[in-house]
Amino acid sequence: MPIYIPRGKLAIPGDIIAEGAFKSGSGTYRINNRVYSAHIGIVDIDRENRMISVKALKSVYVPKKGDIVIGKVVEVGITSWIVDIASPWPGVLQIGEALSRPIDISKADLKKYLNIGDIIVAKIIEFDLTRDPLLTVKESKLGIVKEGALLEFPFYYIEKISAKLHELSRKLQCNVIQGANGRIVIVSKNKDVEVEAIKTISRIISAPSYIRKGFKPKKKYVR
Amino acid sequence: MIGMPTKKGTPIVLLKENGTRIDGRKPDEIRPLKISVGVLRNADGSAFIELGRNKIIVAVYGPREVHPRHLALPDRAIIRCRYHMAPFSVPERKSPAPSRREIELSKVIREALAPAIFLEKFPRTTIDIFIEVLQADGSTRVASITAASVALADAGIPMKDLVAAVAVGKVDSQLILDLNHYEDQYGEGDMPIAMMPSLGEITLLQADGIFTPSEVRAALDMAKMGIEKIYNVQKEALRKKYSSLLFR
Repeated sequence: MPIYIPRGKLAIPGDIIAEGAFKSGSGTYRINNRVYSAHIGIVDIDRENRMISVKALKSVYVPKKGDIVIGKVVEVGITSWIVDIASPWPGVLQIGEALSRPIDISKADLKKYLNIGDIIVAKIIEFDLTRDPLLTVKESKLGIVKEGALLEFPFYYIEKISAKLHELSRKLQCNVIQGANGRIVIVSKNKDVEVEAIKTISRIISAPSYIRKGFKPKKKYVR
Repeated sequence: MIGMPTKKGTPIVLLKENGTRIDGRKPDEIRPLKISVGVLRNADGSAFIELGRNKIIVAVYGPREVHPRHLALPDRAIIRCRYHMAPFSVPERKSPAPSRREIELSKVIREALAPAIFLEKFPRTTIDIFIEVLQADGSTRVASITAASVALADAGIPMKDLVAAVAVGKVDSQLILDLNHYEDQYGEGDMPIAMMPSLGEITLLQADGIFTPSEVRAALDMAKMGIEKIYNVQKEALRKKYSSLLFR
């Protein structure tokens, strides 16, 4: 049962990672006793369960129930808002999941509550591949972000820098909200702190050489 | 070879007596190949390929929402592919409007790439592939397929394998690998072949001209050899970009 690409090494789609009695985990697939990589990513082999997976270096954000995401309102409907959550499918935020008391939709103007361009922190309450992800903002720490800076990263980096973000928010006394969808919002009353936080994050992110060359975080102030 | 008359009436010798081709290559030799990954900032994935004098840039977007909506499929993603030649890509100005040939090639390329992508993971979405030929010198469809599969991988789209493609042709009753413009124009046949090399599956097989059964078999073997080389360049290009993320 040979392993062709050991743990921690880079795999490319189509690379044969191993042959024999291995299970195919995320980022891999199996044909005729062989486990292949489906992503550009780092190989992980769980020797106990004989499970092989590939952790993608770049991938598409697929919503997961319970994920906290940072979204941007792109459409105001009659009974819901459509929210861009940096995923192949748009998030749907229904009135009941946004407002605490029922409103008369024949009279009320939904734009009063959330308008196009508003940034929200939301939680995914339901998602399967047959329907667009449903969002809620009815829990603590969720809702509209009135002020702050929005940063967007390739999905992969969020996890990489997440430990440092906690440190950062403690040090600079600002609120850093991470979305599972590759977005970060920095909220602080003090604009200088915000700028400092963005600088620090950029520094953490720009460690690898290829990013230093081409990558700058997209920076946008909210409102 | 007697050669075909050019416009000026002088014959073109596609295969010299010592067995070399019009550009000095051996019959089973591919042109110099270079692939760069991630060359466009605004695309989700991109690649630039130089195969001999061909220069082709590919941008990939998606998976993303389908507009217009009715095109979306409930069980899988759709692929939309646009192969386009720049007006300055050929000696005589080409009209920028999509020609019959370009529309056909878009379809052919789309169908050559589709088996490699896990489309069922992204129902109701689209993957858009834009192929822009900046300079054409024969075999642009196979170079486009090669570059597009690299751009798809760069976009983070899960794939079974990369798709590598090459054309096999015939001049002077001899099979040749990776046709250039002249060999394509004045040769006896053109057989573009695309494969998923790691899986050993063929995703595109076309042929122009006449090939005998034994020639088809020989052409496939020749193509496999060329595809193996192209596949290595594809993987190397992706590794070069992504390995810098590993060691830090």
